[in-house]
Amino acid sequence: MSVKAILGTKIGMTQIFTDEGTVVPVTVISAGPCTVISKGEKNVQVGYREIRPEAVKRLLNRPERMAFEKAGVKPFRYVRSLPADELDSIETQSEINVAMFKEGDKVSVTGTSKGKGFSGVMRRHNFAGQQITHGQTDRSRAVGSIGTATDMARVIKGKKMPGQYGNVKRTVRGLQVVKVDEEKNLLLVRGSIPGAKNGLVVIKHQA
Amino acid sequence: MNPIIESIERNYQKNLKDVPKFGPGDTVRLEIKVREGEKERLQAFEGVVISRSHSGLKENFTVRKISYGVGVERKFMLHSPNIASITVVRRGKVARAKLYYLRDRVGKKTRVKDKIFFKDESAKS
Repeated sequence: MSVKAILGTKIGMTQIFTDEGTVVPVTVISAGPCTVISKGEKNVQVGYREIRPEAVKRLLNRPERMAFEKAGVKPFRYVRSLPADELDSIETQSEINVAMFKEGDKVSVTGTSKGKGFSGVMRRHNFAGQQITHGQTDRSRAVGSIGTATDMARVIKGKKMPGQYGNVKRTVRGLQVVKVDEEKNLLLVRGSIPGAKNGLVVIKHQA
Repeated sequence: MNPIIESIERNYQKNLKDVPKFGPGDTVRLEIKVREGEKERLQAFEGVVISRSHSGLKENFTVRKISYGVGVERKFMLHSPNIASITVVRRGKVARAKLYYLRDRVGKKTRVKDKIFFKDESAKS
């Protein structure tokens, strides 16, 4: 295979039976087909999820539309760069699909994790909080001490504190492809993947 | 449920027409495939169904029996290929969906009343 990854949408999780009767937890991903728009040195630019003709004018400005037109492809909602090799064998405007994966392959899946907003340290960093007895008030979920006093006179960089939790790019590696459905463009991957349902994910071959 | 997930799950489901209808209170006899090294054999498990939950591919049920004086409960996936057969031995008359109260009972109190069916009026008398 020449293109080593594909774009997809997380559908959700379920479980299936193996022939031996064991239950396997799987995430269903609707992956591809993606169209190759252009080629780089070690990667290709692909488009995923076509935009309906009547929505093109609303979603894309003129330069964006022209870029698709010049490449001779339909306008796409998502355009991403994916790793590839043997670039001579890939043609622009050609399609890539889930056939690049087979059962048992190891893949990594990248997505945007579910956003949990501005969270305190108990939720974000699994701090223990403080006691609610011994006369303490309103301190049960507090951070506590964040360092030394005058001896250091500053807080160490990277100190775990409250803040935005989730909604960041996350990659899960070493997931196993359980099933490939070329007809319906579906991938079943063992275990969970980052992000909410209908979120964009990148599924990459793991060397 | 998402229609795509539903269509995937359908591939692994048994035809519900092939599975006898049973519910909590019924006594069932299961034949379970057991793998011992290379060989495969069937093992029987008979007891009272005390709960049945979920739907679709995830549907499962719990069977309770008293084995050598010890209460044994096993939970089975209805659509598991490891279940070779299910036969209903006795229908029970119960007033609960979950018969967890049987766990606290011993001896005669663990019995579940039989459900009586009337095929026609003549059988009633």
